[in-house]
Amino acid sequence: MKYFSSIILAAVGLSSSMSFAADQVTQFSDGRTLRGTFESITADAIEIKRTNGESVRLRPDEVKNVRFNREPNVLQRIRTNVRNQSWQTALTALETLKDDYTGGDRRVVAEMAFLHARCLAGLAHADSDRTPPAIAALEKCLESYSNHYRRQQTEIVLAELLLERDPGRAMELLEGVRSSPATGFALQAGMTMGRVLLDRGDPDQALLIFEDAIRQSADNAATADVHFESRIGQAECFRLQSQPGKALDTLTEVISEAPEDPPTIRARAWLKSGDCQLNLGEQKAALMAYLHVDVLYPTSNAEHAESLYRLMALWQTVGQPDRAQEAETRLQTLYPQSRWAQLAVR
Amino acid sequence: MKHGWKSARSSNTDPQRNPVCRLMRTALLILTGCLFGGTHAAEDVRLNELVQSGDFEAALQHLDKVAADSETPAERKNGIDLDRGNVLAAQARSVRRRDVRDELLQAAQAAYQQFLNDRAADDRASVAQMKIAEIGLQQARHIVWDLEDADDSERQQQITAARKMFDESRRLFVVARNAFRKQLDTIPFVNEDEDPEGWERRRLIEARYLKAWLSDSICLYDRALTWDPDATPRNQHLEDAIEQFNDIIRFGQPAAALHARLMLGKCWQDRGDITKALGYFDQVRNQSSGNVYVYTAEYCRLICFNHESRTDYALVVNEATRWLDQHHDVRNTEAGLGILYERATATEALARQGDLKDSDRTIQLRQALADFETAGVVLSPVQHAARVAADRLRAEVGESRREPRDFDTAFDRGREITGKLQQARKAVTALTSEEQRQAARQQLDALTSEAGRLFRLALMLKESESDRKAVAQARYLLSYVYLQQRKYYDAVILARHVMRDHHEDAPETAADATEMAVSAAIQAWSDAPAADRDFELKLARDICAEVVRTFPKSRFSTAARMRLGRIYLDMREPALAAEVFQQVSQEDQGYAAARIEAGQAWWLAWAQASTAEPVDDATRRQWKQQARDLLTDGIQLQRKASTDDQLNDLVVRAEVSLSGILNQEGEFSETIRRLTESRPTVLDALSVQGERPEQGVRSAAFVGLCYRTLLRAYVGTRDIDQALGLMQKLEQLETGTAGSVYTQLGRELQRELQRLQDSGDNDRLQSVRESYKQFLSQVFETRNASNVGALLWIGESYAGLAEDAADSDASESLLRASTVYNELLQSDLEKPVKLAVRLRLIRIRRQQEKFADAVQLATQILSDNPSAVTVQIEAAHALSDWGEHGEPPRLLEAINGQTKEHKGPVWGWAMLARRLQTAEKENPSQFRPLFLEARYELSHSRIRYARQQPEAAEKQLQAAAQEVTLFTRLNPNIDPAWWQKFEDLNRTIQQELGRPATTLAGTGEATEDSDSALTPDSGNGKPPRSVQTSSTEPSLGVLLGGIGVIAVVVVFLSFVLMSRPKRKRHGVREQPDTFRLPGGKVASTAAGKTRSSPRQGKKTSGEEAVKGPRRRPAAGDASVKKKPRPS
Repeated sequence: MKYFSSIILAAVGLSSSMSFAADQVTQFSDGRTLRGTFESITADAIEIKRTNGESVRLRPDEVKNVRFNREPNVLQRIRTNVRNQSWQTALTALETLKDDYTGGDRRVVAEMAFLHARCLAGLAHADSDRTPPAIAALEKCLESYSNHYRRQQTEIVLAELLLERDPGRAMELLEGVRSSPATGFALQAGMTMGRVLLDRGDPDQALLIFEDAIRQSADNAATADVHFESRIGQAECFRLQSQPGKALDTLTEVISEAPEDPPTIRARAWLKSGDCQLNLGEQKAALMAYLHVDVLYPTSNAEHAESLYRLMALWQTVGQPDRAQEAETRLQTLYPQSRWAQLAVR
Repeated sequence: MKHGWKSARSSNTDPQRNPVCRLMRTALLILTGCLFGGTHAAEDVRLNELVQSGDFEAALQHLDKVAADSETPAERKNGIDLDRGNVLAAQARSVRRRDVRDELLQAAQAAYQQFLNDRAADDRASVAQMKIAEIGLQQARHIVWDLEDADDSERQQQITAARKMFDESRRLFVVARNAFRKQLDTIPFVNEDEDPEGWERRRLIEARYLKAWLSDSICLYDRALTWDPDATPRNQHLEDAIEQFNDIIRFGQPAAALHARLMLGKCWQDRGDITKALGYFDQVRNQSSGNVYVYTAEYCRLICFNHESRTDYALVVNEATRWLDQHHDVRNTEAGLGILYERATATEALARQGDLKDSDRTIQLRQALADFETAGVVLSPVQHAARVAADRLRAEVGESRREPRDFDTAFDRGREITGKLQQARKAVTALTSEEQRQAARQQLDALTSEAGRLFRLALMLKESESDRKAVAQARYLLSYVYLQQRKYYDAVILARHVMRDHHEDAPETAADATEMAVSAAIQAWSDAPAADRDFELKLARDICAEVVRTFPKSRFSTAARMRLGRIYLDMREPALAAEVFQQVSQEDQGYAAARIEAGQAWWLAWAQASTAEPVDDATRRQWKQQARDLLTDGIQLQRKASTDDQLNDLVVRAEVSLSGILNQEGEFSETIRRLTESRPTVLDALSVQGERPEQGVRSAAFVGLCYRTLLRAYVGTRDIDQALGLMQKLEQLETGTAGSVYTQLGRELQRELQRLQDSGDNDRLQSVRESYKQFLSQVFETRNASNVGALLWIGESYAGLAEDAADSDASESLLRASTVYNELLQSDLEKPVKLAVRLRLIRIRRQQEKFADAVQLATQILSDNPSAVTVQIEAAHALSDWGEHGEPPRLLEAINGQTKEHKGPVWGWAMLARRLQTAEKENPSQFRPLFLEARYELSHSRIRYARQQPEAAEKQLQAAAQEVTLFTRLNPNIDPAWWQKFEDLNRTIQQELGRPATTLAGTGEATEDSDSALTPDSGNGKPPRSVQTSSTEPSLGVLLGGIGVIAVVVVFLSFVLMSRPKRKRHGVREQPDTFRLPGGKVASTAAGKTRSSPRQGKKTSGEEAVKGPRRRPAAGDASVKKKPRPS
């Protein structure tokens, strides 16, 4: 028995310490992966000298994925998890990797720090207790690696977390990214600003921003997420402008066009559909919309927590109090620190 | 001691004074602590509304406003703090967060204290004191609940603090109790009947007194629990509490005694005497039901069964599960959460007992964990303990080495368990003992739940590299699990997702998912309340349509088309259904069946068009032709493909429907050939050994339909011998009320006549009428006086023929009807049937204008049963008609009744209207039409009298005008058809009075159910009639329409019922056939609920202006506006 255990442990150790040869970068535009050696990596560009001698320069928002020479294989899986918003899985793997990694490549260390901060930020959306450490981790990354290719992306994430606590700084960060030449990030920052306007009750102004983002992000794989998110924002504007039917049409399109990963886009679209249905007085349809998030996208934590909160009331309305109770139990068990759980006990 | 509650108790029968109601009302007073009693808030409707609706902030603002208003009386202002405390306390009860609740309680306490400081001498000071004490008790209890969290030093401090709070609360309760006692002593004992206000006041103070006493004793009990179980002070406190609770029981107030018994049970439970405790809990359970005491008693019983001296864990799990299943709405109460906690405790104990395999033990522990987690969410005495237990179990099962860490493992484990589900399901059905079956059901539930958990886990763990086919499978299987758990929406979502998103990468699973999605949607529809399932129906329709679109060539598509067609039938869209059925391709195996379904759907569309839809004749003809062609085609294909020597049910139904069409076309020989000669024959397929089933083509109902269709054909071909033979067979089928087969037959024949008359096909009408009369005549001549059913039918049929204005032999028909009714009365009839026959005879006499006989017959019945409303109405009609035929004073009797002047039992229209007005409030669907009729006839009779007696005309017309104006003003929302009739009546009155015509004030808008009450008349001059029908009082004369309607509807009824999933939850509500009259008498609607419309007396010259709305046709009637539902 001991013998088998040691074989398994050795195999696990081997797999996490196995490393990847050569630098490589994958482009958003055509999904092509370029192999070679990174000549420079800065906040403005990544330059790679390909194995055929050609030098290619890419803006960070044009990059789908980066891999470093001799980085641990597990790091790539973590990146995938982060892209799919499997924050907890990625975080657990990162914590193990941080303990195990002895390679000393500063680029890998920085990458791990950014990914770690990103995961904390992702989890903070469903757990307000995690917000301060997430903000601290993001700030530290920006301070320690000020010229990193993930800088602008990190600034957006930080701004989203700061919106409630320090809106002035949040808007400052977003304005900064919005004026950067990295179009994809600029659009993303603009979209976040649109959401802020929505929260402040200005759907007309927000709609202008979202429609601009939709135009600019159309037919661009690099900005696909921004495109869908902007359409969801647009739909929310319609809803707030008392056009729930129009909003529903937009959301239905988003749901059928958006890819399954990351799940947040579809989850958010379903949530907004539920809101529209409630506006239309269609409680069962609203319930069904929120239930989509619970059933299909439970890994999208923030949206899942909200869906459970909405379901609590709607199950009660349609005469299924036991399911309402079940939703509440899951909300309180899975997301006890989320604002939805706090709202539920009021 | 003498107690007011007992001495003042009244024994009258008013439900308000019913002991159980009173017990509950007093219990409520005691439980709520008389929330606003004694304060001005009791009269502050706005405040009460806001508190009831949970808008506490607005309630507090309202109080601020009242306080600031200079016009508020000083006395009201003085009580504001008390009201504020009450609002805050109510708000505290509504919140679930502990810190928020504590804050609110403190604020409430401060408000009460403020009141006490400012108004120490106020009568309500004791109420404030009691409220402060209650808050103290609640806070002390919270401290005790938290003790498990505290370390040793903290614990001692907290215990000391809690005891101090209990002591202070007790002090305040005693002060309040003494004050209430004093107040009670100042109020004299009064009788409720003589001084209801005084009685109520005394009851309120008594409730407060008892509340203070009970609360004090409860404080004592709770204080006892701050010591360890064997400590002497604990036992001493419990003994003292027991003594106090016994004193409360001796006081003799039932609600307080019930509460005290419950507490006694708890005291004995805490003293470890489980048997004694159980005795008290059982007493509480047996004395009452459906209230907080009983729920708490149920909960406490389970604690007893879980006690170490009992360890009846299986019993706890069973009883708790049953209770939780039956009390969804109170699961979040203290008792509900406690029961959940006890079930979790018992489940965990069972998991740790015996020789369970590790995997099975884990499953059980997970069940316990789920219950602990749920019980840990809501603030309650068990919340803390549940959370601790949940943390412990979560760590235990979560850290299990067997817990999957990746998609593949979780998916494989889920599949493994899915494999066991089938076996577990079989075990449930195979076991005979209920106890064993319940245990097996719990095992099945646990397995299903575990499979669901593993698939959910797998989907959480999936990565972009995970096998897409396996992901699709996991989703598909999870949707199956949800279907089993009756989570139909969830199942629909998952299955539909698989259909859409795995169409490319897992086409087989995606195709399988179509069936799952459709089944789940249909089940969701079936499970939804009947009045609120449009959403589910549309969902099912959309899914079926999507399957047809996405998988147009697959077998799933055919299945979906068939389902979609049936859904359209349920949506009363038979034409759409027919089109969908017709889309099934010729290559498909189900083609022939789809042709038949399409034919049936067109046939139904035709029938619906006959009754409601404004469809042009050409379209209708086309639909009927399509029905005929498709049924013929489908039957031929089915017969050809079948090698069986007996027809299948689908073909049998199709043959009967087709025969209905053939009968309509006059092709009677073809009907006879199809049903009796075409081998294998339909009649052969209908034969059974032994008893007939209740449903399906071999049921008496369907066979009866088939026989009647064939009988119609024999009548059509004038093959009287065969027809009479078949009638005997029909009699043998009779399973329901005597004569119902004949009644139905009669109705169908009458409808056919009416349909032909409406269509203007006079040749066919003449031919059918002649064959019908000839047949009837033969049946009459050969009748058997002992055959009640046949006699009823003959009577009804002749009465129906007599009603037909085109019938030249009406008097002969009436005579024959009268003969058979008289023969019937010689038989040994059941009471309701006898009454129905006598009622029929009264109508016949009226039609024969033998009014004296009619009134005499009615008087005979009413002497025994004056509350027979339908007879009263008939009697009034007879008197009215009689009055118009040369005996004007009879009209006065019809109006005012016989009671005063003639000492007869006939109430007359005025009293009928009064009594029916009261009855209508209790049962509008049954009595509203009768009430409207009585009101109408009251004024109508005055007009008739005015025409007979010009010297009294002015007075009567004035009275009529006043009645109509007043009635319509008070009832502005009556059905538009009735409104129009009253409008016409009013116009006539005005004309006869020589005044310019005016219209009635009001809208005449239909109420929601109004269109089911009456159908507007085109002006046949008949007064409105009540129209419900039953087998005991068939109403041949009132029925219109086509024979095919009933045939198709019945065929489809059977068909849809057979193809529909079993419905759960929703029962059928019985219609009352009696009502309570003012004064508490119970009246019946004569022969059940049914009356048919007699032929009215001849129209008088002015009557054309006074056209009564036509009575509502009975179910299935072709003139009914409502579309006939296939189910």
